[in-house]
Amino acid sequence: MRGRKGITRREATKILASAAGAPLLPQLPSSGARPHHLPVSPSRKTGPWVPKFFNAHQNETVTALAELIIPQTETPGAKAAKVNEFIDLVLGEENPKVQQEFLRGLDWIDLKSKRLFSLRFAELKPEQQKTLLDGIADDANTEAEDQVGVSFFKNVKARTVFAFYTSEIGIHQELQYKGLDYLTEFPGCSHPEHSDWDPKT
Amino acid sequence: MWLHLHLAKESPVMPRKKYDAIVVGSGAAGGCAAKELTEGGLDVLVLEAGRDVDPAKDFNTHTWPYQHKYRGNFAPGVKERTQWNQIYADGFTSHLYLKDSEHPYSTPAGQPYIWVRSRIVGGKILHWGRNARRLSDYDFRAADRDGYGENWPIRYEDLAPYYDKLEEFVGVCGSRENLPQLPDGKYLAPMRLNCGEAILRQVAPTLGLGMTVIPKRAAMRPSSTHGLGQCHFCGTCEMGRGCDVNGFWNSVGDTLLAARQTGRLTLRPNSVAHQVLLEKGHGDRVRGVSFFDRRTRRYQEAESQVVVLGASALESTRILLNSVSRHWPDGMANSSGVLGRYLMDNIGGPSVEGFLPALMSREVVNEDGKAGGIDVVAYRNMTERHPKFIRSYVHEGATGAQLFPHYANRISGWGEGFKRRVKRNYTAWFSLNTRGEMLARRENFVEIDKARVDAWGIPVLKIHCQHSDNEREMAKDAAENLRALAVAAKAENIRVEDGLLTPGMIIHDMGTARMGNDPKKSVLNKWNQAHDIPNLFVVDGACFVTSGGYGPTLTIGTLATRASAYIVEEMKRGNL
Repeated sequence: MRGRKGITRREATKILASAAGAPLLPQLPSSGARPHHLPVSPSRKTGPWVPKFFNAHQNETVTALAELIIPQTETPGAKAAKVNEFIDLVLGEENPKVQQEFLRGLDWIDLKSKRLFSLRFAELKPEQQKTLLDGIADDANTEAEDQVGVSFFKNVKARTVFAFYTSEIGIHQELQYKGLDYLTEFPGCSHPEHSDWDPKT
Repeated sequence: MWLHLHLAKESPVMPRKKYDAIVVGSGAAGGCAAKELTEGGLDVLVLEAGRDVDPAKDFNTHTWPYQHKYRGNFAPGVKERTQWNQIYADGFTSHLYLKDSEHPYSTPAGQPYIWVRSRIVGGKILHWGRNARRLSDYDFRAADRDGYGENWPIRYEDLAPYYDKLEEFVGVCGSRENLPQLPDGKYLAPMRLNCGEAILRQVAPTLGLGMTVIPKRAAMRPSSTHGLGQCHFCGTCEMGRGCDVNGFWNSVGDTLLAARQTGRLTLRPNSVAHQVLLEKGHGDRVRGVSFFDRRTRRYQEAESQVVVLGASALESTRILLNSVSRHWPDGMANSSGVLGRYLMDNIGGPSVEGFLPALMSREVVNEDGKAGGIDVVAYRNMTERHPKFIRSYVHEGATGAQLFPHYANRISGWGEGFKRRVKRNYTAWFSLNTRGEMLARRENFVEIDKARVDAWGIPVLKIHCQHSDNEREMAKDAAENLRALAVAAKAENIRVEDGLLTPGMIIHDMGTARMGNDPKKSVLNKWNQAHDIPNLFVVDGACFVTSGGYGPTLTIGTLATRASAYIVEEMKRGNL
């Protein structure tokens, strides 16, 4: 594995091994090695992914909601990051109360959508979806009939945020996170306007 | 050699020999004791309740969330069923903590205490915060300053050479600041500050509160020391996962390793200590320790000239409270009645989070790789006396891009605008928390819950611990000052938390077998030696008299080193 803006694992091993502590240093695990405690990601070797918890329509609705919350811009969005797949995985193992609450929210979204536009949410035009989401994304919305929706929006947003920003796309393409690397020294801030400090050692 | 740091041979059959010393526990305290005792020529048996550790496999360093089935979380429901009090355990680290289902404890209704524990070779120091601040005479002589409670039986000058020795060996990086409340030590060069940290360092002194911002004093090895593992700035230790190259003080890669290299260490994992055993017919002399094999549950005994407890504050005290006999019906070495009393954690909870406009939308650089931020040094009750509380607190801060944008759910809205705001703030985030002194109070105590046992049949603790008005006033003050700091830094979207966390949550369990000069008011003397039993020592956080310093680990290791040096000398003189 090559660090994003750093050195390779092999180089790191070499540098570390050349330090005075060589005899005490372990081999860094090879890039293919998997620590034995780590549950591995589900294998994708057999056929296209199918939801385990959602039905096809629910999956379509969740996919649409997630992409609306974190859309494709100059970087890919929630759909490309397969946020729906992770939500399906976790909800499928959750307790019935958590599952029912989520499904109730999905039902509510379709009911509201039909009432406003006579179509289910996933079938709406983008402007119509926006109108509906703006209503429930608004904390100031205290309409009694919208409370299931308001709470569902928070629920689906939290799940989308977690799944997206822990995905490969979220971490590397969107956030462009630079940590979890191998460095020989830590760079710190190099802006002259911040560097009034000279460490006294 | 490293040899995976499998320090122990698989379950050695206990030889029928008498060791010079048995050390219970292999963490910060046990590791330091083992090193000092073996280097002093003693044959030492270390009993560790948990299994052995394998740094190459156990630490999940350099693993991305998306490589884990649940992105680093537990599978749904598992934590609630098995590790409900191990609040910092996650999908990458659950195996470094014990299972609450096997290790119960009790608390009175409505008075929770979160007891976070690791039973594994290395203990909690495998995943600690690495803050390594020295205590000072502001702590050791605190009662002299404000009239509350007891002084320690030692002064800073008694401990200073042992702080030097430990820091010099394990490696602590930090800057020299020449502050009376935070003595400087033997430091490796400090980590460089991030932009946000540099800004906070500039702003803090302008508040007029006496705030000084310094780089975190961290027991990490950014440069090589004694040939020990060296940090490569991956930042995983800050995620609590341990370090596969032992780049920080973690016992298994430094102190325990040094003990092993003497050839005089026997480390026996999977050994659940039960009682300290008295010499037949003597109430004032111990002969060894009884324990259960964790896997077979077989009862065993090991014998030694000296017994050194370093099992963590509450576990060491539990062992003593469970060591009842004709001589000690209320717990061993408890003539004072103080055993179990004066439990402390540090306080936590008050915090601030926000975004620094000067740092918004900047190029993302590596900011969390150094795994160490800044400290705001203790500034209350130093020269002036605060009207509402005694003692003091510090703030610990982090800034800039972190792996996961925890703040994202606080950003309102959705869609393109939401996504851009999360990204804009990614480099601008900062957060500061609080670690403060909890007063030593007699009414905070542990006792044996006679109605309950753990998976090995050993009676468990009932923990009584509550905050007092002093902690509540301190928390309010800390939160106000953090808000003021954020405002002065012109931060946006400031969020302040002013409540106290549940006791135990900072994992700085201290007290319950405190030191003192008066045997009627303390369990241990100034050498961590039981007043009642000269060949019994307790060298972990149990001995603390106050909870100052806001991070006990460095002082625990230092006291363990000092006590062990004393044991070596006393054995040479034939006094033990």
